[in-house]
Amino acid sequence: MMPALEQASLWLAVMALAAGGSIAMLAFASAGGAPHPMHVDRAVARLLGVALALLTAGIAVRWQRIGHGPFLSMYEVLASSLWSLGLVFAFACRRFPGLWRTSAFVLPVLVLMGAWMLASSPADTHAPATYETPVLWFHVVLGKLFLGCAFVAVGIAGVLLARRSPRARARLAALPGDGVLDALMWRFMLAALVFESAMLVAGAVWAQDAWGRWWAWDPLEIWALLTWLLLAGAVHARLAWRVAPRTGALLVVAVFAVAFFTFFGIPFVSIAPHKGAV
Amino acid sequence: MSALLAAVGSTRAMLACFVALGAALVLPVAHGTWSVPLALGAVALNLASAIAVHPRLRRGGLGVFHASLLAFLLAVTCGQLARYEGEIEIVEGGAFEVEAVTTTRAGALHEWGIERDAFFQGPWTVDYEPGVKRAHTRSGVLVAQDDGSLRPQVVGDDTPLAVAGYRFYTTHNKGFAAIVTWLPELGEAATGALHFPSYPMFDWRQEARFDVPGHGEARLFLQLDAPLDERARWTLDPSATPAALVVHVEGKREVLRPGDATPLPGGRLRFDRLTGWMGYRVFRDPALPWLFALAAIAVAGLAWHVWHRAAIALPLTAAATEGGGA
Repeated sequence: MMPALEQASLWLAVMALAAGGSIAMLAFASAGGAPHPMHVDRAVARLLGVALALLTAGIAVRWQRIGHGPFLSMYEVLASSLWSLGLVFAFACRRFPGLWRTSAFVLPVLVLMGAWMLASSPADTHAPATYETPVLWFHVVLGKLFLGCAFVAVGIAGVLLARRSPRARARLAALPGDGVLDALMWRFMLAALVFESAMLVAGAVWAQDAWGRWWAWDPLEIWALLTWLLLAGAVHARLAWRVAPRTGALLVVAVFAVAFFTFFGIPFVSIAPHKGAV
Repeated sequence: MSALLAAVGSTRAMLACFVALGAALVLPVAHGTWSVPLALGAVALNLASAIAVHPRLRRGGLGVFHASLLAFLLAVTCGQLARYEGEIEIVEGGAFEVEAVTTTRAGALHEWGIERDAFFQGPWTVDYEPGVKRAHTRSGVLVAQDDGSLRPQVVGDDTPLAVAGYRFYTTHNKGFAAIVTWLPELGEAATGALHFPSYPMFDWRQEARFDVPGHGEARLFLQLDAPLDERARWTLDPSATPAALVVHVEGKREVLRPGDATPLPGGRLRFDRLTGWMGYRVFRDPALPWLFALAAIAVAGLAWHVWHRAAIALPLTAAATEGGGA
């Protein structure tokens, strides 16, 4: 009964995300060349809220059933990341309501992640004893905040890149100009840099106590450092050479792509024991 | 000179250092013993030059971040020079001995700073979930105090034993040990521990060898009364595990229970009791507290800088009012 409830919640959450993403994309793509009406944003916001509520329920039911948080398998990591990315995006939109117009660029990413989650094995997992430390929470939460900030920036980057087309420029006219969006995008990337740096520190503290080394150049550590280098390099390049908003948008997309690969690719293609020695 | 400093501390040089470091990390052709340290050294040089050239990098949160980052890289270097990593197996009741540690890595400036008998191994247990998945490890140790007393402590999982700057971590490597006494026909009896291979990793190969003085060797097999049930939840507690010691020597086979003895050429071998040995990873990096402090300060400095930038309000008005978002 419990697994069925958990599965149903997560399926419905992905369907709600798909509905929200479809509405946002249709509104963006529909002909006319005028900004879409406010009720589209409200519909997308409500559907995202429903998806987050369902994800919360599904994750909570699973957590209660297997006794640990969603940290281990691809299924669990995707479920918790859908929740955290959606939540950070919703908070960002609450702070800057115009960002709902970036839904057409960010929700499809969530829908794809949701589909990936549903295609992954929901088998129960065993948490190593080394996961029973408060430091894990700092590490995970900081990582989620890092990816969340980069995710919001990617939505803004989507707007900047889409504005190359005159029709898209007209549809996105309700948003601030490229210069302001560029500044906002890089603020989110700077916040991402803070959270990623803090995540690396928390991870090193955890690794020292759990495995007796604070850094061992395992594949996940290497790619986390590469992500940090790319992000720090992009921030410096933008400051030093005042790169154009669209070039900056491409840099942001590149950083997010590497971060995404680090989060969801490396831990599951590498056999190095970063997930706790067994 | 200042032109050289400016060139070394430039953003272009920084990006080149980052690319070199990235290549050293992920490209097998660029990966070598010295490629990563060299790239990190180049990053440190670039950072130091940038701080010297740009006053902006010496002020406020940005100054705290960059100075801490540079100090962090220097602390890493110092830590590597004095760093020590090793492994040791200690039988229950046994004492820590420096000579028993197998060194896996020792910095050029490392010198042992821990006394023999710094701690003694007590009983330990390891919980297993169905599927032989390791859960909690509880390793009891007695730590020698300055006044000669012994302080009990339980280590394992996320809690290492810290003694004299060294940190001892329990590992998956642990197993059974048979306490046996050799009773020679002539001379004094000698008691020692025979370590069997790591358990349950090598549950199918619980074999040890005993050198019979002057008469070759005997093969000893550990025969647990209850075989490993991989589907069950259980606790590995070597001292409480019923088992027999099977001795093979010169074509004969003897099954010994605790307290039993068997004749061997030149004397008798007595199986006193079954106990366990625990494998520890030994780690020392004197820079560890500094690394944490500097990293935390660097992040705080960066957060301070970003917070100040975020406080500047952005004109979030529609693009249409700004002339089409150009």
